Amino acid sequence: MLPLLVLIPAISGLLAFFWQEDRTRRRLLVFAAAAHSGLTIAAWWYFDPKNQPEVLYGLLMLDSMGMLFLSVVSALFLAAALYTAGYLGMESHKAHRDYLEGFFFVNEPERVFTGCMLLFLTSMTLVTAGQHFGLLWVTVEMTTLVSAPLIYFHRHHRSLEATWKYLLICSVGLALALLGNFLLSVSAAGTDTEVYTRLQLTGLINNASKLQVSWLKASFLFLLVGYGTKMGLAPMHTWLPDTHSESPSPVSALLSGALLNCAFLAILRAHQVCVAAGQAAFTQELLLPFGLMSMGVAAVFILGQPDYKRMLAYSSVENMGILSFGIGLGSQAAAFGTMLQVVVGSLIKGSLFLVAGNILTAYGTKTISDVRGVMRVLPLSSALWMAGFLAVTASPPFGPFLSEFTILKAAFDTGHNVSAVLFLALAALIFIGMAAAVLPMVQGTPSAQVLERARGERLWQVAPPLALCLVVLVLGLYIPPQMTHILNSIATGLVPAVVVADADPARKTGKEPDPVAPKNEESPKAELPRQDETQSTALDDSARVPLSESSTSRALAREDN
Amino acid sequence: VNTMDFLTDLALLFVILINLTMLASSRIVTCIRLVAIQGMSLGLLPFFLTEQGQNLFVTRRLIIIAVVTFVVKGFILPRMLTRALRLADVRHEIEPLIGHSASVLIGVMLLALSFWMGSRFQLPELARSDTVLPISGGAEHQPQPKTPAPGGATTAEPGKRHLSNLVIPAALSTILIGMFLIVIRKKALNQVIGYLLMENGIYIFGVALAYDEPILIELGVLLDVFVAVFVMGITIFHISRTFDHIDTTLLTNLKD
Repeated sequence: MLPLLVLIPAISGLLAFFWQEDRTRRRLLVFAAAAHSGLTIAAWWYFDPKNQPEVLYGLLMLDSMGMLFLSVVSALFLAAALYTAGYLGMESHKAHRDYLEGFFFVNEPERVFTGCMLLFLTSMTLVTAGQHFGLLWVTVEMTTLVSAPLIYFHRHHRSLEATWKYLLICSVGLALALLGNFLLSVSAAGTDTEVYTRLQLTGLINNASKLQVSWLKASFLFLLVGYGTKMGLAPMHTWLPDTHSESPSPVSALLSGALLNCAFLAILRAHQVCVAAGQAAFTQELLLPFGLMSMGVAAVFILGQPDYKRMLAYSSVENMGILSFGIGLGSQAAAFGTMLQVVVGSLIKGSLFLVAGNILTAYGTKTISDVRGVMRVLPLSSALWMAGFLAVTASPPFGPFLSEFTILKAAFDTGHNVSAVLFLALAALIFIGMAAAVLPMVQGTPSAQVLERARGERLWQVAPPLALCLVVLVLGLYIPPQMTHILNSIATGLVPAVVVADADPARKTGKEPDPVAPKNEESPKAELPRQDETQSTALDDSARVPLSESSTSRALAREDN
Repeated sequence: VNTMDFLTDLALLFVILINLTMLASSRIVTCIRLVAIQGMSLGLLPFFLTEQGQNLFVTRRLIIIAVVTFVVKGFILPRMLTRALRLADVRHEIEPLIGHSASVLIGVMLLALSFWMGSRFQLPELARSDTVLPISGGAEHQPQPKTPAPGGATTAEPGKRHLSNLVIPAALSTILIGMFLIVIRKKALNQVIGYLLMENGIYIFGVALAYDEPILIELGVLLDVFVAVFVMGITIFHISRTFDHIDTTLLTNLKD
């Protein structure tokens, strides 16, 4: 399954570079995206977490976390591909007039754009399946390089500036992540593993107790800063707003929903190793402030933001901040919420960027104050715009409400009261900031010029974001038990809580706190608090102290040697 | 100190000197040549690294990596940069944000910082039998017999890795000076050179300390650097065509 998932987009991508006819090339894009999604669904069908086939000496393997991220990538790419097929048909080959400054520009050759898009899918698939830190780095860097031409689709100076910033800042950041890889390899020097498994995820986790702690910490620091740059964590997020606002809307949707997640996945892999090595406290202390800082920066720039695509970009920074915050809390429930947030946050952001593309097409401006009366010009898009706004700011009944509420509750349960209050305050600020932008856009009367130009909404403009939005809505109301099961099993690998529960049997509250196999078929809402009680109460007072003590004593022992 | 160690130190010293010269030179062509020479000496570096007086590193995978590095970093990347330079038609870094003599001074300070950090690094012990060796330091150079047991982590005495004292300072200073160049130079091409310097520093670190990555990954890293410079070169070409210059301080249309 995995070879096909990689090869289909790769081969169709290479084909697209040489395919002369536009119409069939667009079909090829949609076909490859659909095939990828179909294969992903089939991979879920045959998914067996215990026994996954390894590809290339075990460098590639889809574990449950990889599967989750792959599904998000695949779903978003399908939506973006359907949108792109229509979008490219609308963008002619002639010179366009720039809406902002009035000069004329041409588009990138459509062949290059489509080819790079498919290669982008290939590289992201490889990231989700990467089981080796070296390979992970190579593939994440590959995503940067193949997505740079996508940003420079409209060939004018603003998109060029965005492309340059993106290329340079992300490449430099990722260079630091490469150094982190080497440090990790040094820390694993004592594990007596074969060459091919030195930086292998499973090998590192199994030999975690033999890792050299100080080198491991240094390595995590570099990996966090490096991949954090790509992920858009503040203060390394500076490329993100420019890139997201200047690229064509389907590309923005992919960058925001899929690419940032891939970088987050790389950080999660490093976090997994640190957790296994008993260094969870160290990584949490780093992830939590980075998360809050990103939310803070997002809140500051969303308030009074004049450009709606930039506003969405900062909302992506916020989303990444929430993810980092959630993992930084270090409880099972928070990790569960974070994984849910990965899914719903990305899908709704993809939907919002696609709708933003519709508004941009109809109004020809990205300035919020120039867009009025979307409800009249684009009725369906305006409904989706409102729904997306409510969802992304975590209003019920959408999915993000559930995930962010879970994270917030876990924050209080683990005793991070100040952080939790900050989280809530920043989320509220962002709600206000976005409401002040979105509501006037939807209401009011459009200018006569816009009404005259309006050509209604096409199916390709509305169906993909609608589908994404519906998924997010459904996940807010009902999470299938299988999905709860998967999310729980992923969350278990991200927290040190299981060891603690065993070490302290007196604290067990009746039920076995083994979240891997919740057999009961209750609704997820009823199930979540139960884990909160069993896991996080055990965590906040007793868990952290012995863990950090043992780690420091081990570090001391190493320094003695 | 044997010949190989001497050659290692020489190559690393060379790398450090190139870094400082880079800070002093204003002509972009000179910078490209310097980065090419640095790339070549890095390609040779793996052959000089020794353990126990004998060169354990020269395996088939190492030769492939060294040769590919030599060719890519010494010839192909500089060739691509020269081409971008010709297309963009720029010669000088006219006014860097920090003057040349001041930046050399800062470079020396970064070098001192790297030496200080290098002295604080404690290399971890190795468990594998084939790399058990005495500490380098000069005097105690007694070859230990290799343990015959395969995978003899348990039987072998864990030892320190033999490593030139210059490796970590050279790697760190190259990385830091590369980042410094990216910050102070305005021309897009010079920033790419800074990026290459960073990659070179990381390469020194990797080849000396983490030499047993799978060859597939090592080549993948090199391929990525190659493609990165390729894409950056194309972008620079477009920048020069759109703006009539490649001065990145003027790329400031996008902001909040």
